[in-house]
Amino acid sequence: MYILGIESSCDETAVAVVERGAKNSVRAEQIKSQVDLHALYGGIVPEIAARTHCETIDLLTSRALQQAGVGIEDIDILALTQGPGLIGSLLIGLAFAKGLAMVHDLPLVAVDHIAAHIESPFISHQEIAYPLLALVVSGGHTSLFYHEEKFNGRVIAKTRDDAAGEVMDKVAKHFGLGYPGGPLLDKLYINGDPKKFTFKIPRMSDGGADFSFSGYKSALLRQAQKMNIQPHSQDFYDLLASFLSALVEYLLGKTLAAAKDLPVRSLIVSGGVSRNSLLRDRFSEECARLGIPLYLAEPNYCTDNAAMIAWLGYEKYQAYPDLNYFDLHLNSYSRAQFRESARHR
Amino acid sequence: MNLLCFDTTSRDASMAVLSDEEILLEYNFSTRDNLSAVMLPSLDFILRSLGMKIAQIDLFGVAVGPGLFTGIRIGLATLKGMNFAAAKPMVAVNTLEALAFKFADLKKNIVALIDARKGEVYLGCYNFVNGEMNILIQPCLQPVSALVSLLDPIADKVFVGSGAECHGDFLKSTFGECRLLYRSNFLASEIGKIALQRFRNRQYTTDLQKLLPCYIRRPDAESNLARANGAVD
Repeated sequence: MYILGIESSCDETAVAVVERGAKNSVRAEQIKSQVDLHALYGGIVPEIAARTHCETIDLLTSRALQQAGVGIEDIDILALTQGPGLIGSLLIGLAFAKGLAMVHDLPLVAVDHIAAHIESPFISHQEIAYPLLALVVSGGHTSLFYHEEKFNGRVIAKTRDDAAGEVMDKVAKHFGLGYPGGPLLDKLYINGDPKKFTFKIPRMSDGGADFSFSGYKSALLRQAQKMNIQPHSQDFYDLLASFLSALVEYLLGKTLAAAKDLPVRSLIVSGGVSRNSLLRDRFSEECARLGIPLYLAEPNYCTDNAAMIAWLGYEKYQAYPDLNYFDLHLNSYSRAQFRESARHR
Repeated sequence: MNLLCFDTTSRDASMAVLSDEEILLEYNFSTRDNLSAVMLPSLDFILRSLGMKIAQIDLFGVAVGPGLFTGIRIGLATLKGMNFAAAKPMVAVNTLEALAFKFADLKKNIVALIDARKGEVYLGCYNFVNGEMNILIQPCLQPVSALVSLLDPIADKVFVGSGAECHGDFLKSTFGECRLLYRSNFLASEIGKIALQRFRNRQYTTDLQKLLPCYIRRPDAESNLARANGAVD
C-alpha cells in the first residue's frame, strides 16, 4: 500500500511516499526548507511561509512520486497534517490535498502533527513497546505524553510559555547569532564551560507538571547584562553552554521523573530540538544507566517531514477503518489539540 | 468545451461551470474563515448538480488576485491539487480584470478598485472595444490619496469594486462628474468568459509551476525590512 504524505504546518513543505503492509519503507521524501528565507528576519514570517508552500507544493509532489517510481494512480491513501501550526501554511496543504483527493477519489487521512512526531521513531523501530513516554520538543512545541497503547494516551506536561526551541531562537536572535538558534547553540557548545553558570529550575506556582522556558531566557539576558558579557568572549560561550546544558537537564529531569512515576517500557524523544547533540548524548547516557529503552527520532525525522505524516496516516487508517475519510469539509486547526495528539490521531 | 472557474480572492467567493460562453451554473457564497472547509464541498456540489465529472472539464479558470492573500492561495492550491495529474489547460485571471469585465458592455473607462485596507486600494483601469480588453493602468497598489493625480488624466470613468464601495464618499467628492457603479463582486462567470477568450488566443498554461499568484503587496515583514535598510517603498 502506498501512502502520499503532505506536511505544511510551519516553514517546511514536505511530501513523502511511504510503502506499508508487505513492505515498510519510506520510498521518497522531498523537503523544501525555508530556513534561508526566514533567517533574514530572525524567525518565521507566516506570510512568507504560506507563499512558499503554495509555490512549491505541486513541484515537491511531482518529485516525490518520481523519486518513489510511482504515479498518483498508484497511491492508495493521502495523509495530511491537519494541525497544529501556522494556519495560513496548513491551509495550503489542506487545499492541495483535498483537490487531489476529490479528483482521484482517494481517502484523505488527517493527522495531528505532534502525534506524528511521536510516531516518527517507529519508522525505523517498529518494535517500540507500550506503554511509552514521549517527549516532543521543537521550536513550536514542548510536551510530554504518556501512551498506554497506540492511539490511547494523555498529555502529562506542556509548556506554559515558549517552546524549548523557541527560547533558543530568541537567545540567538538577541545576540545576532542567526536563525534557527538550536543548531547554532549546538555548534558553539564545545567552546564553553557548561558548569560556569547555573540556572534556577522553574517551579509552577500551582505545583503543576508543565514546562516553562521563558525564565531561562530572562535569566541568561540578566546575567549577560550584569556581567556586561560581550558576544564571542569566553564568558559568552560559557553562558551559552551553561544555558543549553540547563535546558537539556531540565527536559531530561522532567522526563525521567515522569518515567519513575509510571510504568514505562519505552521512551521516545522527537521534534526538531531532539536533533541537538547534547540532548541526544545526555538522554542516551541516563537511559542506559536506568535501563530505559530510548528511541530518539532519526536525525532526518527530527525536524518536520512528511514521512512521519504518511506513517501515522497509515496507522490511523488501519486502526479506524470506519472513520469517514472522504469528508471534503475537513478543516485545519492552528492550536495544539492535546487530546488529538494524545489520542495519537 | 466545459470550463470550471472559481474566485476565492475576496470574501465574495464564486464558482461557475460554463459550456463555452453559456453559464451552466454559478454558485456564490460569502465566506469568513471557513473558505477552506467549504471550497471543495461546493465544487463537488456544483459538479454533482450538473451530473458532471471532473474529467469532463476541459479548461480551468482561476482568479489569482490581488485580494486576500489566503484566499488567493486556497484557490491556487486547490486547482493545483485538482489538476495535478490531468494537466488540463488553465488560465490565471487577474481579479481586477475580472471585475472590469463585468462592465465590458459600457463604453467607459472602468476603474476597478479592490479594498487593500491600510488606506490603500488595488487598482487597474480598463476599457473594452468590441469585447477586447485594453489595459489603461496595469494592476497596482496605491494609497487612496494618490488616486487623484493618477486618475485625473482618465476621462469618462466609472469606479467599480469593493474599493469603490468603501471609498465611495472620497471618490464622489474628488471626482464629481464620475459614477460609482455597483454590480455584484461574484466573478466566476466573468473569469470563465475571459478564460475562454484567452484559451482561444492560446494564452493558457498546462504547467502548474506557471500558475502564479498576483499578490502585488509584499509581506509586511519584507516591506519593514526594506524600510529599515533605507529603501524607499
